[in-house]
Formats: sequence, structure tokens, C-alpha cells
Amino acid sequence: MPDCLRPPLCRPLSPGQCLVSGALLTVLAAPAYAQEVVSTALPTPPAPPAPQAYTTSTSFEQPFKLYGYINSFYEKVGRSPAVSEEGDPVVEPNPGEFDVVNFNVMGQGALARKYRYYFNLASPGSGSPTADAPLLVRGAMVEAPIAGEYLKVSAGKMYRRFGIYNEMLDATVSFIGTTDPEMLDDDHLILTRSTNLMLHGKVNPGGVALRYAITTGNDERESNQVPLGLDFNALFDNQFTVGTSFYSTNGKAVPTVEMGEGSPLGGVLPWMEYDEYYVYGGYMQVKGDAYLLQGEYWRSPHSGRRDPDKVLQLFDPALGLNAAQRERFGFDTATSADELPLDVNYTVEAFYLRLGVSLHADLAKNGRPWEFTPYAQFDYYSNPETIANKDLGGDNEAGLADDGKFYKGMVGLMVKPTTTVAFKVDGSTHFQTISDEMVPYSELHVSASYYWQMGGNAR
Amino acid sequence: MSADPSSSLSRRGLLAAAVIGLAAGARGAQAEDPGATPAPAPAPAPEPAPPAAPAYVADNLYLLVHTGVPADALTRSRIKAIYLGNQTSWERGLSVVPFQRAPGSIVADRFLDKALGYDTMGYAQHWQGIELAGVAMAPRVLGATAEVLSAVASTPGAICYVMGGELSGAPAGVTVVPLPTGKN
Repeated sequence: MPDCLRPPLCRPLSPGQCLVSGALLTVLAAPAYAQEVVSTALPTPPAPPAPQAYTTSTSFEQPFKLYGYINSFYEKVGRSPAVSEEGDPVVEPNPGEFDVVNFNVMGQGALARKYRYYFNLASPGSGSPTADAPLLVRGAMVEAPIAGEYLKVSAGKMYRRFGIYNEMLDATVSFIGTTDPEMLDDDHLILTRSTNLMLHGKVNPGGVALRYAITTGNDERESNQVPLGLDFNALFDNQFTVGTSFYSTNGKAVPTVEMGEGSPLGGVLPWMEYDEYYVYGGYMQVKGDAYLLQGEYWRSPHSGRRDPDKVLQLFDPALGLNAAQRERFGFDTATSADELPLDVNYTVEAFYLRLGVSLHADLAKNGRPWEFTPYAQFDYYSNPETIANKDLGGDNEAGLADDGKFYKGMVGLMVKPTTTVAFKVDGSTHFQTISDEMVPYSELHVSASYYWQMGGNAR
Repeated sequence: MSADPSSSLSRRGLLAAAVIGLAAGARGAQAEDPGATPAPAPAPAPEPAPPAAPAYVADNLYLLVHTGVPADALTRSRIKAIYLGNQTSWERGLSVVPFQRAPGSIVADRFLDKALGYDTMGYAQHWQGIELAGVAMAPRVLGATAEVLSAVASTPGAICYVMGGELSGAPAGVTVVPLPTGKN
């Protein structure tokens, strides 16, 4: 039974009044709205309830959780520019394509609330009706505290902490946009997305959340180099994040794929014998009640040496290298393979700005309101070393341009009828200079993604 | 989804509040009336009362923290940081172990709104993104009040929330603090 209650300025209630009030409170489950009340004592109070001991053996460990998502995708590229065998700009039609661009199965749990484990199995591009796609291990790691939350170690295979999107790229269903920022697109990565070892931690001085991460791993190293990744960010008032990341190959790095095997998995192009590069830049995010603003800028100076045998494979006119690319590789001036320019220094740059605004509408009638998020994005990417042919490890966006640069503007809309389903549609236009002429082309993307979960909080 | 013990309290709470308000208001009016007849000589002071069990306002939110957690650390911004996954340790380095209530329950909806400024959908999406990135796990969901009390009392660094109507007496191993108001 609760004690008698009274406002601070009142004289004590009589025992009888208290008992009546107390009985009412017991029956009615004891509320009062206007102000916080304080407990008081009675001349002859009822005995307070004995403290209840909660020393059960029930485990309140974080349960294992299995979850993931399916992302169906449709892409229609308008008539896009290309380069003919003669080096002239042409435009080509493109058929619309269906795909399951992401199918992910993830799981995580924690032992003793300290030792967390996580895995991420993915089958990207698994939508082909005529070919089965493999299931890949995108992540498999264990995490343990060394000094509480201040210092933890994660080991295995994991996305490195670098900028805003690298870690969350698989979370398509949860972010605005049908696609990731161009800098993380498969055909123009600026560094490896994954690594093997991460020391990281978090402190909260004065209400600011400071996070850091130091990463290393096999990455693209040639032999015993120790690649180094760093990330540091600060979150203010749970809304504004500003951060910086750095990466160095710390010596020679080598291609992750051979010529003809498609896009590289890191920053070293397949026709390089070796490459030494680093990446630096910054990022920011403002997450308001109804809007999200994100931006990242990265710059990556490279100093490498081309492999002459692989460069000769690019000499094939059918690849459609443009005049600037032929000149860069020395195809127009070299009279023999020995005269090809092999040592190369170049800089990759990437930038994007993304804005989304959330609106809610009660379309479900008595259900939760649907969320509508119109969004816009501007991308810039520049890589003067690349070519257009993706099979050979090139990039059919920057690689089309004379100077390796392209810009992209995008507007779109995301509709979420529930927390687990997202429909997105966006249109974008690329701009690049081909043979001294600004040539745009457009794309339409439509996606439907569904998030599912079992275990954990799915109760 | 487990039953939410606080879900049926509102109407009963209103009635009880009215009763208390009437009684207290009458007494208060007497006390502050400047024209009232002087009161007779006060009666002898009663014996000092033993410590009373705390009382809780049924429709107010309270934070429950494990006794090892310094209650003065519970500022509004810190609560928000904890439940968004932005703060994961208390000041002494003890790991924060947040628990949440069943999504969609009255107590959860009210906490998300008043403490975090989120609705259920927004909060779910926030953690969905974090879990898909593999960075952390959302706070574990607890059901009935007894489970909440047991979990907080038995887990160092734990924090959860309840409606006042779910509480009676002083639970052992748990510090009860009203949800802080104001910006900080």
C-alpha cells in the first residue's frame, strides 16, 4: 500500500484521509498529473513494503539475432555515351534491367555482454534468372573489450570505419537513395571496403560522443606492408557529426583482380604493377527531426607503376579508349613497348552531398503513418587513370570522360509504409566531357526492399 | 508482444488524480487563506516517522538504473545518447546496458517521444541502420514490470524505464529517478 501523498504546501492530511486516499490509490493504481509529488510520513504509517529482491537466475544476455534484407532493383539507363573504335563519341541504347542487387543474411550476438560477434553473408547481383549467384562472406568478426568502451578490438573480416557510408553500405533499406554514393560504387572504389583488424573506442566528455578507429589488414598489400586506416569523429547533441578519415597503403599495394576479372576491390587498378596511395578527407552529417544532410570529400594521391604487359592489353582499339587516354598510356607516341610511360602519379577525388526530408502521412487509416522522404544528391568523381571498360577493371562513368571526371545530380522519393519496407524511385543525370563536348545521360532506378529479423528484439 | 502493465492506467489515473487533487486542493486553500480564523495552538509534534516508501506518479516516466550507476549522471541529453547508441559507458567506465520496452506499448511510445523525440518507426529505423551496419545491437526488449526490475537489478550498468503506475515500494538493487525534463 502506498503512503499518503500531499502537495508540498499542504498541511498533513488526517490519517483517515490518508487511508482513504491510499486505498483509492491502491485500487486505481495511483496517479496524479499536475506535479511531481513527494513522499511524506504519517504519524502512524503503514509499514512500507519490504524491498523485493530481484536476484533471479534469469539471464538478460543479448540474444542472438538473425536478420537481413532483400533489395529488388530495376534500372533503365537512357541512351548513354560511348567511344567508337575510331575514338569518336557515340550514343548507345541500353535495355532496362531487373536485379536483386542485395540479398543479405546477417547475424550478431554477444556473450557476457562483452564479446560480440557478427557475420554478413551477401549475394550481390543475385537477380539473374539464368545464373545463380554465390553467397559471399562480406563480414565475419568478433569483438572484445580491452578497456571497456574506451578500447575494443575487432578481428576477422569487417567493413572499415571510413566516412559515413562504408560501414552502412549494406543497409540499403535504411538509407535514402536507391544506390550508394558514387565513391562507393563497385567500379570506382577508392580503397578496400574491408579489413581485418580494428582497434576502436568511444568516449563521451561533456556530452560529446568521440569515436575513433584504427584499422589494418591484408588489404591490397604486396607482401609484408602494414596498411593503416584511421577514423575520428565527433557527435554533438546527438545530431551533428563531423569526422575525418585517413588511409595509407604504407608501401606497395598490388591489384586485387587480374585483367578481365572486372572491377578492383580497392584503389589499385588492374594494369598497375604496384601502387602506393593514401586517402584523406572529411565528412559531416546533420540529422534533424525531419531531415538528413550528409556530405563527404575524399582525395587520394597515387604514385605507382604500370605493368607493361597489361598496358599492352589496353591497346586493343575495340576497347574504345578516348584520345586523352591513348595519350596518357603513350599509345600515340610510343614506337615500342619499351617507350610506354610506366611511372604514373595521379589523384582521385570524390565528393557528394545528400539531403533528405521526411514527411509523414496517415494513409493507413488507424495505422502508423507512412513516411515519405524526398531526397536529392550531387556526386562528383574524378579518376584520370581509369578507362571505360569495366571488364578490364575500368569505370564506365569516369572512364568515358576526357579528363576522368563526371558529375551526377539525382532526385528521388522513398516511401516507407512500415519500418521494414522501403520503396524508392530516383532519376539521375550524369555529365561528363567527351571529345571536348559535355555529354549528359540519364538513369532511372526503382527499388523495393524488405528488412526481416528473427530472434533478438523480434518478439 | 508482451502485455504492457501500464496500458490501462490512464483512466484510473485520472480518477485518482482528481480525488487527490480535490483533497489536497481543499487543504491547500485553507492553508493559504489570509482571512481565515487563526488556527488553534498546534498540537504536540508527532513522533518522528520512519522512512517512508517512495510514491510514484502513475503516468509519469521513471528511469530505473542499477544501484551501481550514479543517479546524478542521468541528464536528458545523456539518456538520449544512451538510447541512440551514442553513449555506451558511464563516467566510471562501466558499460551502459540499456533495456527497452516492447515497441508500440504505451510506456515505450511515451518514452521515445518525451526522452528521445522519436516515434516508434523512427526509433526502429535508427537501430535498423546500426544493426545492418553490424556496429552494435539495439537494446534488448523487456516485457512485464517484474522482468524490468529483475533485469536492471541483476545487471551492472543497466538502465530501463517504467511508468510510475508500474512501481510500488522501493525495489531492491534499483535506483528510481524521474525522467529528467528540460534540454539537458
